[in-house]
Amino acid sequence: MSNDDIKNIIDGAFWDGKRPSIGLSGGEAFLYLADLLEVIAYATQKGARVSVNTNCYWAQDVDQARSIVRQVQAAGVHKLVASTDTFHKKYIDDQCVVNAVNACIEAHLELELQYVATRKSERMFDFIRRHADDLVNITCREIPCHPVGRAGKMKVSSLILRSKMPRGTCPNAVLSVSADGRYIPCCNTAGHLEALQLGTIAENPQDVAARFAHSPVMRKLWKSGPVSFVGTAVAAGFVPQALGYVDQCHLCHDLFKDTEMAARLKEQAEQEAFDELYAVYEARRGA
Amino acid sequence: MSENAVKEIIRKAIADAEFRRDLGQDFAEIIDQYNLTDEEKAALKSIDWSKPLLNDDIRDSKWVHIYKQSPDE
Repeated sequence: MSNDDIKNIIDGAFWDGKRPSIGLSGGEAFLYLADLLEVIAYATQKGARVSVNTNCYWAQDVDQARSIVRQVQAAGVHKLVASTDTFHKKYIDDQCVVNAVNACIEAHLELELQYVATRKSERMFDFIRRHADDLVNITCREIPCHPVGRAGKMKVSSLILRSKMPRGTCPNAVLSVSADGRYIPCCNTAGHLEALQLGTIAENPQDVAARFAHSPVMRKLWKSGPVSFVGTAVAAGFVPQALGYVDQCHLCHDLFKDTEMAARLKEQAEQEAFDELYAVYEARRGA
Repeated sequence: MSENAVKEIIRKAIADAEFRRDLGQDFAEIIDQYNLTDEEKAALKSIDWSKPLLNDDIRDSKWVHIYKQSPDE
């Protein structure tokens, strides 16, 4: 995706005149530092709040960490989200993350730590135990690995399966843009499914935003969770995972990965939205 | 049966976000294309078509998450 594409997306996020929050992910966005600084400055000068995800590979020593943190801060970034875990650690030492944390603390730049875990990997508490003093006042979030993409080959015994049928609601309803220019309704694994796509960056962003805001499927996921689709799905042939799910996002991916099933679920959400709105209409007509 | 027309309008507003938005902006122009009674028009007009199905907190937060590369790459 070019810088011009990204700037157009940023422009589109201002369609209603309100300030958006913009998250920049990679791959690794700091690999393109000059581009990153340009995009951060562009977005923040327009009034957006900007956060950037990073694996902190650039913080190999303290001075370098300070220098780069100063550069992104001068460009206007509001927050860094540092990713580390067993999978990153093969390539990027813990110390890089610690250097980035300390550089952000010195610069008064907010930093949040994210850690993807499996039952067979190290866990976030292992990382915190090793670096407890450096992580004082730092928000730390452990994210369970979903068996999607390359992680789809992972053994079931490695997954942090917690529930036969997770009842949580959608935690990540965030209008997102994939690297291939598709607008998607969340930044979790299910959001990348074809069935949930909202549009492309070639379209008017106001139209895409309207589809997001008025989506019966997203409304149902947000209000009642993926579990509210399971009855309809099972009636249409869906077989839930025998050992259960990591969380509601894993269930959501399982439900919507098949386009025919997704179409059935979309019909259900639209029928429920119709029933509600028609009831409002009838009440108003009788009033 | 204009009641069928009402249902058609509501179904279209559910399935087609752009149509729903247009209903909020150009109600009279769109509704005139359907053969409705005054009572039906008034009841439809009283609905806030611009109100999103998603909670205002989500809509207004407008997080735009941009990926430079696919997570699978």
